[in-house]
Amino acid sequence: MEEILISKKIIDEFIRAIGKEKVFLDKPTRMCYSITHGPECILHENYFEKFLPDVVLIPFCTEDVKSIIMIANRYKVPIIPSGGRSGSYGAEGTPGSIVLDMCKMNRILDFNEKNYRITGEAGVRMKDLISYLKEKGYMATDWPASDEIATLGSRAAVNGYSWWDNRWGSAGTTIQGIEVVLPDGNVLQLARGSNIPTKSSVGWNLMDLFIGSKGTLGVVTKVTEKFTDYPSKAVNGESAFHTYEEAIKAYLELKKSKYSNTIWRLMCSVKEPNMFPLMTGKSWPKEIAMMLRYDIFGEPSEVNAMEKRVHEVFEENNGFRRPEVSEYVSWWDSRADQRNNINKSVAHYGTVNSLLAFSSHVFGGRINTNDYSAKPVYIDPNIPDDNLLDYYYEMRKNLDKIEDGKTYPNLAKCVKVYDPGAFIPGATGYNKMWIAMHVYRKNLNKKSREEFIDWFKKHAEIVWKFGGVLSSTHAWIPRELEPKFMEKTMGKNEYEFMKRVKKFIDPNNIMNPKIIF
Amino acid sequence: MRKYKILSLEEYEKQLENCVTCQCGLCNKDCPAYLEIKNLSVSPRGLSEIALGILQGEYEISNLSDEILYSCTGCRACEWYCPENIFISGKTREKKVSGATIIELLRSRKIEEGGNIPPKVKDALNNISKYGNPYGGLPKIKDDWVNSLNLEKKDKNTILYVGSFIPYEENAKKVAEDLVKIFKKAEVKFSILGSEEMDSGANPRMMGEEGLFEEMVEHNLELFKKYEVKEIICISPHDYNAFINYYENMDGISIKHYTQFLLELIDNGKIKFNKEINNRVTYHDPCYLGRSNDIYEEPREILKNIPGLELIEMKLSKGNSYCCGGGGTGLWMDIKGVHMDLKRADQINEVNAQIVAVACPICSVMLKSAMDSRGYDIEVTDIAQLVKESCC
Repeated sequence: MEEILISKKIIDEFIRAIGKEKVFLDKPTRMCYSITHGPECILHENYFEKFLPDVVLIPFCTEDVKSIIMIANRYKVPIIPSGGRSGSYGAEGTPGSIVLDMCKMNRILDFNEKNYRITGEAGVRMKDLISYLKEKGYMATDWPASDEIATLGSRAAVNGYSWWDNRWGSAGTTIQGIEVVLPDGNVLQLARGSNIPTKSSVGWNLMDLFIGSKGTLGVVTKVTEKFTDYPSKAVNGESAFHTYEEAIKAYLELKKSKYSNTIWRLMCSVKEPNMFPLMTGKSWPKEIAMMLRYDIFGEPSEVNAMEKRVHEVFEENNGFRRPEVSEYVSWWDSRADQRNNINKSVAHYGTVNSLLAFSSHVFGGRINTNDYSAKPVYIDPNIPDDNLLDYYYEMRKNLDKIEDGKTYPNLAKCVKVYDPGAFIPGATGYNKMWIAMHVYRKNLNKKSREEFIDWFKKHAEIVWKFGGVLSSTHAWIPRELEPKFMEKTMGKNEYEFMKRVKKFIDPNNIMNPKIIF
Repeated sequence: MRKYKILSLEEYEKQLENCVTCQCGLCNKDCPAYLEIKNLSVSPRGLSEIALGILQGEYEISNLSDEILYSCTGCRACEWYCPENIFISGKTREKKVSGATIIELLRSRKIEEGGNIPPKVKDALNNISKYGNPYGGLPKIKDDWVNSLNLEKKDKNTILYVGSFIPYEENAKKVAEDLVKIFKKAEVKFSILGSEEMDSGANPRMMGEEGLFEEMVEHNLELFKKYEVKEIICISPHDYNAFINYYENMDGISIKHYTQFLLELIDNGKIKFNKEINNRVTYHDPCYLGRSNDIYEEPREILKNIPGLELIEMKLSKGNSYCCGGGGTGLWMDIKGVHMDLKRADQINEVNAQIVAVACPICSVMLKSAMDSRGYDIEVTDIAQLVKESCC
């Protein structure tokens, strides 16, 4: 108890307000909320010192959240909302703070088949929402890679990337309405220009102020999402390319095809340098510079037409198939039985497609070998179509420096790049792309951490040079760079405006105060 | 050479790091303890954080609550889903990232450091130490029971390892008796070692009593050597798992779960079914047989061979099966808010089964009690009992 900065008097108030069964002061529980499991944790030798919250509160309902926030606001105690903790950002505790775990607010409240709207509490896991809809013959249009543990509330809080981003947009566009509790205890029902989940030009679009706000303005307690019919046909496939240019050209061509909305997942990726040999014991086929894969879902006639077009584009760009690329685990099947399909992929080891299936289905997938068995670090810019190829060349050059041993001698000893790039279409004209690295935290020291930060800054310069942003998908940039990067990304004027909005809504700066400002 | 592999929390640090620095969280997604309690401190990922904190001197293990230490049943859903483990095969305890292994190590360290353990766990351990079984049953009872079975064709090369629950747990005893009847009919030459046979060590290991585990291993290995045992047929998946995954020096001894052995007898034509069992039957995969040892098909194949029986699958089956709650220390003590048995009973009820077939004495105890609590009219029957009913 001596480590706890929040006074007993305040804690007693929490207990009186919501009940002691929802208040957790024991250190083991608090340790579990100290840091999210994202890249930030590799940058700290002892993260318990910096990120251990004072108390964990697990509310059961909006009334609980309201009570908690009002007490916290009165005593100026920081609140950190926490969802599934799958993401790489934002939900770390800090000394003197409260972590608000929304996991017990996990009820689906309303399913409206006529209006294609579903409403759930913030702690509903996406997995459960997706299953619920599937049983009724529908499909979620927000489908994150982290669907197994991500929650509705955190999807709103980070405006997360969806597998179907190119078709339905990111989480924010799928979300039609939210309930949010403000620092003063006011509970708002918000949508776009209205207080019901629809679009209106009467009022302001207040909802989007909270989408992606990462708990800095209020606590999202309910979310309404749209959904769609289950697709009647699904096909998938892939092609290899001799050069990056050909693959990227084919990828961009497909993005703008007449039926491009039918393609729900298009991914252009390379896995060769480390991942393939480690997984298979074989060398990456030298004639393959890049792979392009697709999943097409929808009405049969459109799917057939689009698939025909896909094959034409592959051919026009010298795409080719290899015998070992014949076995392909569809995205659809793989998600249905993730674990078994990982095994299936492994069973087909040696096939290029198995790697693609593996790495994309297990977004946290790592390879346990030597000392490079720990952290996949995802870094996601959003690069415009017209700059994609130029960006890719320059990014690869900078990425190579991590391992060359000259530029970053300390970092090279403890970081290995296993995935130098996979583009996936973002909003029209833009491309998400991740880089993934293996890092074993215990091997990092002060110097290698400084080198990583230095590399990251150079990476950011390249992203900005080509019109991209940090970060579009996994929402992480090193905490120490955040305010500066935020200002750069937003623009000075706009950043100052954000601060004013924050001050207006949260004058005591209690909502997730450690980030952004 | 040691009879089993010792693993310390320190040796497991890399696995802890792997989990703590991983964003995937798949270990938590179907962890029954976490799903029921909804507090990260009982989740595999949370346990990694806590164990790492203990290694870093952030927390004293002696202060860990019973809820944290004893909610895990060792179902290994976490280990099964963890992508880190996909390429690891063979004896895997020290290699795989696993919440169940973390819990074993934490329980073990707590006992090593002289920490308090819950009275019911302590009683079970004392009984194993004194009598070789957790119930405190007298050895004579076991010997008398074995004598009552009239095993004519004794062959100590093949033993039916009944484990430490039998004959002290009534239902498990009936299962063993039915198996004996089936074996007799199939003219299998085998023995039951009686009171010489003690707990395999599966129970002490999950309770964290490494010393007692070692004692059991030493004893059993000596016993197997003395009788030149070549084949062990286990009734309990927990014993099977202990022999397969925890014992060293078992070379030359074939270890089977009884469902594997029964299927061999069926395939060899030594068991012939002559009575129909016209029921809708679902099969509950024991965690220690399924996820821990990949034995999913043999029990199902046996059931499919029984005439008239309609086998239906639950939504959560095979690798995705939901734990009955009895593993680890679940049979001995209750943790507030953890009711895996009731949840599993609900899942069984959802498929309108008349019978749930089991292949583990612990699952049987847990599910029978859950069916009673819920008031479901579903019979909990061991596969051996169904086979006996149809063939004998």
